[in-house]
Amino acid sequence: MCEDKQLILAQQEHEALKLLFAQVKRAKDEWTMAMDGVSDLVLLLNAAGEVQRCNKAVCDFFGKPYPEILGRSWEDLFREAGLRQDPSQVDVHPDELFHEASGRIFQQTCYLPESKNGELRRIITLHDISERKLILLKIEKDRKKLEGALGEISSMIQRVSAGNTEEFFFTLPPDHEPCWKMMQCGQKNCVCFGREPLQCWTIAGARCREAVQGGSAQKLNNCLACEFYQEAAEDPVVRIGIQFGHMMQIIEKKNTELQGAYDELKATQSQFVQHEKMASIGQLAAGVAHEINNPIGFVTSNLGTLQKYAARVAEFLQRQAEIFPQEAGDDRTIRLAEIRRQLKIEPILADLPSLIAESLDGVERVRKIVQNLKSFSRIDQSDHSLADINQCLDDTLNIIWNELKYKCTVKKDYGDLPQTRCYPQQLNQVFMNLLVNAAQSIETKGEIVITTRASETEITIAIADSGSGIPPEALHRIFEPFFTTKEVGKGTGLGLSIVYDIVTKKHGGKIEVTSEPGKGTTFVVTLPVKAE
Amino acid sequence: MIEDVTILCVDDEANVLKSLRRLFLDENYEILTAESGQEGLALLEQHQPVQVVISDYRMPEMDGVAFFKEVHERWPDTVRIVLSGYADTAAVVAAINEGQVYKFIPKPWNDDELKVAIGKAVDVFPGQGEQRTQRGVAASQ
Repeated sequence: MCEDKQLILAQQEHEALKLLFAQVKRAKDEWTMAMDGVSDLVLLLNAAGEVQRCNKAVCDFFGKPYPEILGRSWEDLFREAGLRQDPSQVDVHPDELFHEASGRIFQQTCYLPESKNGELRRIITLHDISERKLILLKIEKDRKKLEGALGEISSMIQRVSAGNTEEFFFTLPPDHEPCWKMMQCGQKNCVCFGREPLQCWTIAGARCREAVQGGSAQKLNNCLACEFYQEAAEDPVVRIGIQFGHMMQIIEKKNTELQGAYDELKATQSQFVQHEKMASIGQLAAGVAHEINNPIGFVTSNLGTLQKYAARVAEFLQRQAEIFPQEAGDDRTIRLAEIRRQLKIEPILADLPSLIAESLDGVERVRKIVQNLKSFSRIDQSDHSLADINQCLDDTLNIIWNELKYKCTVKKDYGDLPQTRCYPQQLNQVFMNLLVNAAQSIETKGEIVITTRASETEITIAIADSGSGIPPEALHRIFEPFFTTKEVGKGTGLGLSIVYDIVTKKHGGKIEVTSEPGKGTTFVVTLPVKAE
Repeated sequence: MIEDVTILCVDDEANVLKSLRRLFLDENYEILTAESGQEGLALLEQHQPVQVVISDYRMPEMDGVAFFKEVHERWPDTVRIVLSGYADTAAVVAAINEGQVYKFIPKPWNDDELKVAIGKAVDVFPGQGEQRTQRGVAASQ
């Protein structure tokens, strides 16, 4: 019984051991599997640095079976395999090892596990970072490239903006606090104070210096300490953003200037064309005038002579009738009287003076037309000359009378004007444009009032019409070249811009306009009196 | 009555010449007319003295300036008057400077003004004033 008992006990013990052994083996297998499943190299070293255990990755890497690795010094192993720090790379992390044969890079990590019996052991792992390293290198390379490009852009923008010393204000990000708030600046007289977050530090450099006496140095320091300023100074993207904004403002400004210059050029060109046209009309008129003046000359003179002749013939007949009065029984005088009646000599004699007077009047009118045509577009008087503005107005009225007469009555209220040195031909054009505009604004029947006045230094000419007026929104644009309210093709939009140009630029005068839709428009031209 | 004043009129337009002749019908002027500068010069050679020369400015071949220039050189005492419808400043200046023109009368002319101008021109002619005065006295008697 006792033996049986012992046997049973021994058997039980054996079973327990067997179980324990199986458990231990299983644990070992699991650990081996875990360690071997890891792609990192894992080595367990003793105090002397000899390999006590390693995983399969180590065997594979060094190309040796497990037993050959055990007990070897890790440093020898690494050296033999050519694992070392890369001498060609500076700045490289000391934990990074380079494997020459494969070109792979490993990160080496050393662990010191706690030891229960005081034995010093180490675990070393090598993790392959080749790919990561490559990506990092590429990122670094790209970053440098980008930085270079940004620097290039920045200096390009600076070159473009160079020479533009005007102030430009940049808008800060909307969440950015204005400097006076951020810096708790107490300078209430500072231009930045209470302002929207403009880029105060740029103002500081330019405006504060003038606006804030004394406190500018402090202000500038504050501005230089501003976060946004520093960010802008360091971050190329922010800097470029600001520079770009700066450049865009310059470009926009230049663009506006250019547009202005272009418009002016266009207007000048059109005016030039207009002038050319006027000049050739003038040349034509002068030529035609010469041809017409010759016949008018002798027709007028002949009519004068005819008047004289007629008077003499009439007188002769009168005297004859007196000397030979019709006497009863005198056959000759009766016959003469009969012929007189037949030839209607009495009514002819009565009509002759008015016939000649009417003809003279007609010729006089032709003469006037020719003269107006000449004085209107006279090439020989396109220079500066002394002229009577009232006369200019009359010349112009004569020329365009046909356009005005069916639409309006013209009231002239002329004052005594001194002769003034001007370009009469150009002023004629001014008056013509204003008068034609006035007539065109009148729809059916209206009135144009021309008033001239003079003071010591100025002559004012007011041309008022009872036309349709100019809407307020168009009023400030009427002198712009090419601005027109007429239908396409009806107006060039140049008339008033030419007027403006002639009055202001050529004569140093000014032109003002008042208008009430439905009531009419008044243009007032003011010219300086120039005696010499 | 002796016609002591001779006036030469030059114009390429015959009608102008005829009306000028008519204009002076009642004056004691001898009127010579020529339709070109050359013809005018030929007449001046034949008739002397000629006190007043009236000429158009724009004429074919020899224009008024060239004509007056020659008249001025050869008969400096003549009083020269331009009668022209061509009111070009440059033409006037040239006529006055080169032809020593006494007066520029634009076409179409006013008969009375032209008569007055010619009357004055006759007085300007050297030695003529005296004669004219005598004649004036004679006429009023």
